[in-house]
Amino acid sequence: MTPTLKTAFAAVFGILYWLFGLTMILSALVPVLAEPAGQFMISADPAAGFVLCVVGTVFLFACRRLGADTAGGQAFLYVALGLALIFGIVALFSLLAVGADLVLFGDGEPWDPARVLGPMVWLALFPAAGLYAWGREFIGNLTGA
Amino acid sequence: MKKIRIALAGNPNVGKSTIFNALTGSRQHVGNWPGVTVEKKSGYARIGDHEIEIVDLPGTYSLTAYSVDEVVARDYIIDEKPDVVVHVVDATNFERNLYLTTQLMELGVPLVMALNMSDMAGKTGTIINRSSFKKFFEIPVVRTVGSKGEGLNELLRTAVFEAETSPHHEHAIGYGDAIERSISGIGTVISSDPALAARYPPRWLAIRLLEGDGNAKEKLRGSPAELKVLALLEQCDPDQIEAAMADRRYEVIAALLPQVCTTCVKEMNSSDIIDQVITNRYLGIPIFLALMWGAFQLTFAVATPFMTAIDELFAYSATALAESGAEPSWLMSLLGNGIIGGVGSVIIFLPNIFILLFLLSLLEDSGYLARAAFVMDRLMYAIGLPGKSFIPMLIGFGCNVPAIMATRTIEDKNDRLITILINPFMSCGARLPVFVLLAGAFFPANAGNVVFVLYVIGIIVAIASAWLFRKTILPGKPAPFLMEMPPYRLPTFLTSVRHMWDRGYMYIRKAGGIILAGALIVWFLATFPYGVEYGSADSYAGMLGHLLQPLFAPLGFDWKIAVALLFGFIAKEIVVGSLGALYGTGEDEGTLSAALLADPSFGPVTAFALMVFVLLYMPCVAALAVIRKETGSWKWALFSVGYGITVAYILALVIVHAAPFFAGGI
Repeated sequence: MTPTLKTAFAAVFGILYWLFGLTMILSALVPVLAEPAGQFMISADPAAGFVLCVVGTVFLFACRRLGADTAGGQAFLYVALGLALIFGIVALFSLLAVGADLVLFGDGEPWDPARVLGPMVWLALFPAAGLYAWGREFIGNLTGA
Repeated sequence: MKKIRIALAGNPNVGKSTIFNALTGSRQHVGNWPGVTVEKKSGYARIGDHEIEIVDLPGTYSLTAYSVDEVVARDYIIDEKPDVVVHVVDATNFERNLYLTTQLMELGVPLVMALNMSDMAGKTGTIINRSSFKKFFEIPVVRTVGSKGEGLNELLRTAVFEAETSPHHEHAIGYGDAIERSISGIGTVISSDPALAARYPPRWLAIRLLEGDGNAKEKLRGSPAELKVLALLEQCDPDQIEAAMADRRYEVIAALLPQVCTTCVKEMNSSDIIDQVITNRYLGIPIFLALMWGAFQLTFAVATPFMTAIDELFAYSATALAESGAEPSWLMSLLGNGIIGGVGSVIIFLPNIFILLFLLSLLEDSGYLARAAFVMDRLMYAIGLPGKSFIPMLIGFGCNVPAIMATRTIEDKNDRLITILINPFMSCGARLPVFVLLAGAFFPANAGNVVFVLYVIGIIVAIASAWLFRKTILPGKPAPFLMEMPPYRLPTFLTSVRHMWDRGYMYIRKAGGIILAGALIVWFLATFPYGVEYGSADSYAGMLGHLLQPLFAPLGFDWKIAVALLFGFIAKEIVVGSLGALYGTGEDEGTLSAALLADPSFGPVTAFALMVFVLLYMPCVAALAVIRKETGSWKWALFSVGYGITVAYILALVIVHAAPFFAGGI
């Protein structure tokens, strides 16, 4: 993978995480936005929105540093990928737990995971792939130092 | 027989005590340093016709005056003037140990370096050129392996040689024009008092004074030079000078290290690189907050099905008991309302507590918590606390008892006292049941966020209190952050589970002990006098509640809440059990929520005010006992209770009266 691809990846995901994070925050602050955002499975959750913005910021830092071709850029990208994966897992586990509660102890109310699958989960799929692709290279570079 | 005295100095965990034990064998004396509770160990060894007294100094990273250990170590060297100081260093961490070397050099004492753990250093390929080191630093170096006793005879022989024959070398690090002028000016004034100059090396004392060392100022007391020196010091900024001097010492180390150890200059490892991001000055705190959010999100979401399962189990038990029609009725009431209701309402929250403890263990085992302390250091310093206080505060999220005990790592007395006093504001696991119950009932759509806000309120109150204490009753300056960062590790599931169990098991014991006792007391008060309706206003609980109610009326709390809060002093979990008993729904969590929602005196504002009150109002009995033990006085333990109640009352009052303006009178 070339540094340019990594830079582009960091830029795209930095913007995407910020976009979804900001939408979640604004949906909570401006109720009129909540319904259209909900149609895209974006909930009005300012805390989760803040988390997405933090991950997005780390991606954008990575993008800027990678542009200067410094080793620090790789570190930012690697940590951003890790954070995206961690929060993706947190959101996925939360989703599954709510589902398990409904299925096991609910009053027959159906559970449709597709309807509650938020951006924190599906956005993390791409960083997970990035981590798989670049993780070994990155670790190899670190231990080789 | 000739006698000489050797002092062993060095960083903590460099094998100093191993060398001391190997040198002195059974010829040891263990006591305390005068006036402090720091252990003093001395012993004797013989080599040739020399009897050598060896004193093991406390392990320190530097010779500033931020901890008792540092003051003890350097005062011994200056006041007792040992013939030689043996500086024991960890050869596998050579660079880190050299900062203390530069400070020992400034003391102007004869030095010998023991390059300990040199076998392990050799295995990792670290090669230290002893002759180059001696050339640059004028300090002889002896390779030792304390655990195997290797090199110890040579160490003693070298120390004896240095003590008897070596000429004394002055070592000086140049601190640059401006600082050197100040050192020279103050040094000259110190030299004008021959008694003072004979006791303390003038250059060393001048450096310490310029670094703002309060202990060094005490050494000036009574000297004719005191006023002149103080006048000169008034023209200097000690913080700036201290930082500049530390920088110069590190510059000297960085410049000389490659010349004495070609393999010691390490390129960045994975931990260093990850730290660039995690401890970044702009990203560090947001990443910390995001990770904390993740921990709380998982704590509440993942626990839900487990809680429901436990709830169903207790509901089934209570129903089976009620339908059995067994007699006597008071025994059935004791089992149903007292034991199943009281203890069950606490057991139900075990999943939350265990998951939170598991996640804190994961963060700790990964090495992140130490970084969190570092990240928060600047903020902590601004409010008057050292970064080290942050770890006990984080542990306080699990339980305040071990958290208060963890303050023992904080050297400064006032720093430690403040950290102890603010720790009960960190929301421990015992408060979680109250939050989960009330947030789940009154804020169902945002329960997780409400609980997160409560934790944040706890942190803010703790910070504000620390600032207040520092400005009023416990003045002073926090010690600078000095802490070894463990490398990042992938935490293993089993280790984290073991840590979780070690800490969480206490809750299970508590449920079977103090909480069961509390539940039985509540049941007794709610049941008697015999024949009254359970938990009614005519019961003893009702009478007690009505007695207390006027105190809580301004907060909108009725007599049932007053009773629950009173018993919450035993353990915070009992608040839920008491509410369950007093609402007559104890065994079923869902029914208790419904009963609270149906109570006209209970609304979202009252619920939130109650949660804030429970968060802040006082430490539980166990925490209070530990505060008394750790501070050594009931004065601070009682202060903690009084201060907590005052803050909780004021904040709850503000919430109750201010909320309607913001929420349109919810």
